[in-house]
Amino acid sequence: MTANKTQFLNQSFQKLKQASIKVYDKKLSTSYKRTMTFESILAWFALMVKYFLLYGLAFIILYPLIQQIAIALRAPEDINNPLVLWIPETFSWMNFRISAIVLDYWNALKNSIMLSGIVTLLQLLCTALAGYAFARLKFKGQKILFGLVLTTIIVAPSTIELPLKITLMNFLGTGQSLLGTPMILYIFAATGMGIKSGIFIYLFRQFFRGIPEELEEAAHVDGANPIQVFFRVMLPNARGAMVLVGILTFVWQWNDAYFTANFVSKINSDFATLTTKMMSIRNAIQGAIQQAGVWQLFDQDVTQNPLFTSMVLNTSAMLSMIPLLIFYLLVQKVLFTEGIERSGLVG
Amino acid sequence: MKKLKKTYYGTEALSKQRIKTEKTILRLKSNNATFEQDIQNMMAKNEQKHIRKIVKLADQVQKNKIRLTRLEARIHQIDAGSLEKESLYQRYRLWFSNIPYRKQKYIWGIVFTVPWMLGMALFFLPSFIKSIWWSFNQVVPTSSGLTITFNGIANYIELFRSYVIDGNNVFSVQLYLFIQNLLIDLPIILIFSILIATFLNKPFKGHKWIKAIFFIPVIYNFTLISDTLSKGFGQYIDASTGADQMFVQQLAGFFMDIGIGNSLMSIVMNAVDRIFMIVNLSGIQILIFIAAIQSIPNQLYEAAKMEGATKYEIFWKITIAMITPLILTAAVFTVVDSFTRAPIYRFLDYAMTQNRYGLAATISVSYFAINVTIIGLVFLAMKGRVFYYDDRK
Repeated sequence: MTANKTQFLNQSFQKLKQASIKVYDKKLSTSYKRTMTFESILAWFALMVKYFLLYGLAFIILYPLIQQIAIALRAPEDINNPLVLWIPETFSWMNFRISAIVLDYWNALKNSIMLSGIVTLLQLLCTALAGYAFARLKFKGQKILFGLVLTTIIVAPSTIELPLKITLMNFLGTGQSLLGTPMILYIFAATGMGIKSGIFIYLFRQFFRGIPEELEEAAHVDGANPIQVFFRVMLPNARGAMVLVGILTFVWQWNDAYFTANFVSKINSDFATLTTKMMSIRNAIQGAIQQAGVWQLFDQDVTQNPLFTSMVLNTSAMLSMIPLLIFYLLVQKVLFTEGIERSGLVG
Repeated sequence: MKKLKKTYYGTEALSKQRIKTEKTILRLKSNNATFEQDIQNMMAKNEQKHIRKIVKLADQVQKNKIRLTRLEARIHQIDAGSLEKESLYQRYRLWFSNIPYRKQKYIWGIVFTVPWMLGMALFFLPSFIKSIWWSFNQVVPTSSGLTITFNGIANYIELFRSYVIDGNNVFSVQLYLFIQNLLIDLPIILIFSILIATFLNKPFKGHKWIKAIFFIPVIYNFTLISDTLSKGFGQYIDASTGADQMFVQQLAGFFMDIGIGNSLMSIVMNAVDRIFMIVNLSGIQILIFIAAIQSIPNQLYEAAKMEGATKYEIFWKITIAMITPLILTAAVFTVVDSFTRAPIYRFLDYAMTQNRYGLAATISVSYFAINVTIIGLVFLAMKGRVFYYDDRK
């Protein structure tokens, strides 16, 4: 018995030894092989760290989204059910219905899309023109003007808010107030005073500087004047920057509560975008729900629960974001292939 | 394409045109004669300093001659009765195409910047200057507009010494805390986004999805969501799963046990606590760095590999070195962005509701000054470490 055991152990030991010698020969016998092995282990380790980090962070980003969805789909009657944490027991669209009424959803959505769309177009045109002029069409005093562009980037919009409002109340001494209509936001966008226009001008300038000058010269030799060169040669080539700036403008305008609220919504309560509406009901959600007339549909123990209002608020926030998310999912492929890879972020 | 209809002048108009054209021809001819006379005179003097004048005049003569031939062709057309009517636009195009290209560029440069200049002159500059001026004044709204009385730097003294809102929110303390947080966050955000950008740059399993997810913070209204989530249900779910706190605390305990310094740990813990915020704030920066890394020419990497550089060396000596100008851009963006969501905005709102416009202007001008200072510091820190292609020293 013992002899058998020793023999077996010996055999397995021999096998192990053979295998280790093989590994040693293959991986560790010379100094070169040792470095290579070390490097490959390091690379594997780095890969693991990379995957861990990226997937983990992606989860961190998605976590609130998942939370929101889980909350939004829960039936109001389930609030007091301690068993429901993530997956609701009864799925219901009730929250969405309440939120849609509270937000005045379709009207606000229409306003949001119109405002963001028009502002995006105007801002694109204005910043592209200015950026091209700063990059290629030199005139006297341009450097000072570009310094002013950089100043507009640094100066926070709230710095100039109050004097600007007073100027706009009596615009150019005509006695006409520009506040309270979306027109003022269009004017801001068209004159390069919109949200972060300075950054976009800077970006376009960098981009156009990156396009070879020979292209322009060739067009000129073929008989094009500067405006033709810009619209027929430079703009089609600047697709990457256009996509990037367009998407960012649209998104920032959509999410903007500052400009829209201060210059339009606070003065004229008839005009509200999804974001401003969301901001205004955030502090008065109880009243908003009561006004919407859905209060009577539920029992006391539901309506008295502070979690109920929080649930409605959550769903409203999600509803105001969903169109943007869909927009993003539609354009993200273009953003990555055209926008980033070929964008003009680098001179 | 549609062919334009040709319209011709009538007989009466023709004779008018003929008179006009003949007049110009006569004028040009007499002009040319005087010019040529001048040239002859100057040539006779044979002085060096007149050469420029001569060339200029000769140029003018040449131009006039070209115009003359054109006008003569026009006379022929009038004789044949086939002079075309030109629209204003056509005439303008002809006139504009005669301007030299360099001047055209100059003119269009101004035209292209006009919309922006309008915005600048109408909205930005007056408001900005007014804001600065108000910060040295006491501004009170009355029924007949604003009354402005100069009071020097009294506003600034009050703001930094003794401005308190809500009973216990002191301006200077809040400002100090904000700047401290910013100075901690800035390098963390930059390092984090460079790291993520290098990771995202090369394709790996599922990189399309991960990329798409990483830019969700750019489009998602972070303040709105976290506000609504952290107050109500989100807190409820977090508390019952204990998801965020447990892991972090255990990790911290572990590091304390093995004796890593408390102060270092507290900074790290702070950062870990804010990981959600940092991930959400660095979307644009990641975008910038991905673009930067992708613009690095591949030859550099190949050359480095041929010379036997390790991956570590390649990362530091090529990747980081080549994206330094963009680090500057990203840093500036981070600082500006953080100021637009600073908690000290509450002071501004409060001063406005108090109708103390002068003080509000003071607060915003101080923000601006601090902003400029921090960006200046970033510039100083980066100075001499930034690499440009067209940098020939």
